[in-house]
Amino acid sequence: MSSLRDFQNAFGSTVRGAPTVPAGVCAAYPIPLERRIDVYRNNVHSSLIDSLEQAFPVVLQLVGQEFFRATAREYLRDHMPTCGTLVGFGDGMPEFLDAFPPVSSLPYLSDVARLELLWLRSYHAADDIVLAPDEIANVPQECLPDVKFILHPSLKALQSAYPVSSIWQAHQPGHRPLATHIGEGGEAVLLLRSNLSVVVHKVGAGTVSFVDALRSGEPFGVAAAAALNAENDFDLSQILHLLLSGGGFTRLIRS
Amino acid sequence: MTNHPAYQPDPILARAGVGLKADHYKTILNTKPDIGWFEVHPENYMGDGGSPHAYLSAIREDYPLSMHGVGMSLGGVDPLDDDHLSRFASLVERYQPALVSEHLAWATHRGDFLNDLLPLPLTQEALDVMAKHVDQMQSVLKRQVLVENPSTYLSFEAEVMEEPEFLISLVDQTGCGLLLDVNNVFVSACNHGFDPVAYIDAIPAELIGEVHVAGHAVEEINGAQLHIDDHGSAVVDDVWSLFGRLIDRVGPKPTLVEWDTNVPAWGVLKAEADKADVLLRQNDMVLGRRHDDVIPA
Ligand SMILES: [Fe+2]
Repeated sequence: MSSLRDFQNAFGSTVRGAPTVPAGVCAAYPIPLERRIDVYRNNVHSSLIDSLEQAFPVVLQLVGQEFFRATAREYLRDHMPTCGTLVGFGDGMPEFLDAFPPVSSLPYLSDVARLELLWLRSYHAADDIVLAPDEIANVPQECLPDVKFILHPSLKALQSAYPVSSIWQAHQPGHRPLATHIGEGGEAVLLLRSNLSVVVHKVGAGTVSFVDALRSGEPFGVAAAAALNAENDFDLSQILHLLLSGGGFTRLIRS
Repeated sequence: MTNHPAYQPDPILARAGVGLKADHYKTILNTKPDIGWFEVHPENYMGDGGSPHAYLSAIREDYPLSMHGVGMSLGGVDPLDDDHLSRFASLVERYQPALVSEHLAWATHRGDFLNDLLPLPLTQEALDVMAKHVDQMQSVLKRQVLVENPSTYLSFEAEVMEEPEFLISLVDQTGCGLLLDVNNVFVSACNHGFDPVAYIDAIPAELIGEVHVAGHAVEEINGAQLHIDDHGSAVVDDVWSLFGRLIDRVGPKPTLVEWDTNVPAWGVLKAEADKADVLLRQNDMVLGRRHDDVIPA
């Protein structure tokens, strides 16, 4: 017989879709081998496609189930999971959609997938302490620009050239799908976990710049300037209130 | 072979448990149902934090757990994934499950994970691979692992052992225990035409650390039946009677009712677990032992 490695190489290709029956496979009962192998083929593909449906529920609604499953099947050709957990599976979907011609007429689709991926990352993000609002109140006003904030692991932000927040909200359970005009311009979102649930906040471009700057280690003053640069009417006190009351910071570092 | 303490039946666990589903988290925490224990797939808890861990921690306060791995690929020719193994080990460390199990199967292909329990030809080479990997898993986890018989749809010309013999040899070589899935035995027996009773009877009582029962689907193909293990419905009578026969012989064992697709409302799942508990308790009385009042460890 071929070695176990030869068998697993051949059978792995078969269940991934190769139209071959590996040598040495047999069955004692009058059901064709092909139909038996199909059980494994189906388990592999349907379980992974189901998992992608769960990861991208809005993309699923936008394109419809039949189209989604066909797209997911194409995705699997080069994006099988590479470890034994499906937490994190689907990471490559936005870039895949960007390069997938059948969805080129839906240019916002990949950003919706990005938002859904960030939602999952926020959902699974590590638990951490939350900065008490007192701590920032205790910083002397003149020192504030030099303070660095450590973000909560569940805090994520996304700027899109499309109205991703409106699209996402309109496809949440209990919401009536709204006609969203993709020409209306871009939207930005901030995601933050509150009592274990991920909350998606619609924000301005300045907030995303602010959060990105803090994440890359810039002090408060630099981050605020970046935010104002990105958005004229950036409201610093409003966003600080959101981040402090929502648990968006874990620590602050005074230099 | 590494040395692991011999399997000690845990009296509180010789009851029915069910798989823990996110849809049932709140009901369980709010109503504290009288059920022996919960089983989780550790793979679903390999994120860093958030809701899954918060609920699992809260439920663990009140119930024993079983961790039932589906992603280790113990029968794969490639080395075990060290990262996966260490994630698994941290979950075992954190949640202290009463039972830990994995499968007689493989799931990896050229570095990719196929997310299914693929069939292993029962050869000496496969036994060596399984033994090496079970040994490694037990060493890293520092505890005994139960290995589950899969449901299978294919056989292999090169096979030199029946499945019970293969599993018993694996126990001899590694000191692992067995998770006997009665539904899988039934499904495989139907698909291959062997006698499920003879299979069940061939497994020594002291090797069995846990039992599974589940529902399955039946597909008609050219007038014949292919049984498909989908965990998507209630346990069928044939499987309950095999289970009854097993428990008559081996005494009560921790028994999981698996229902993973088309997951029903909590009450339906709980009722299915109660059915298993009735059978377990009947045999408990026969053996003159009672365990109802033991506090979870
Ligand atoms: Fe099972």
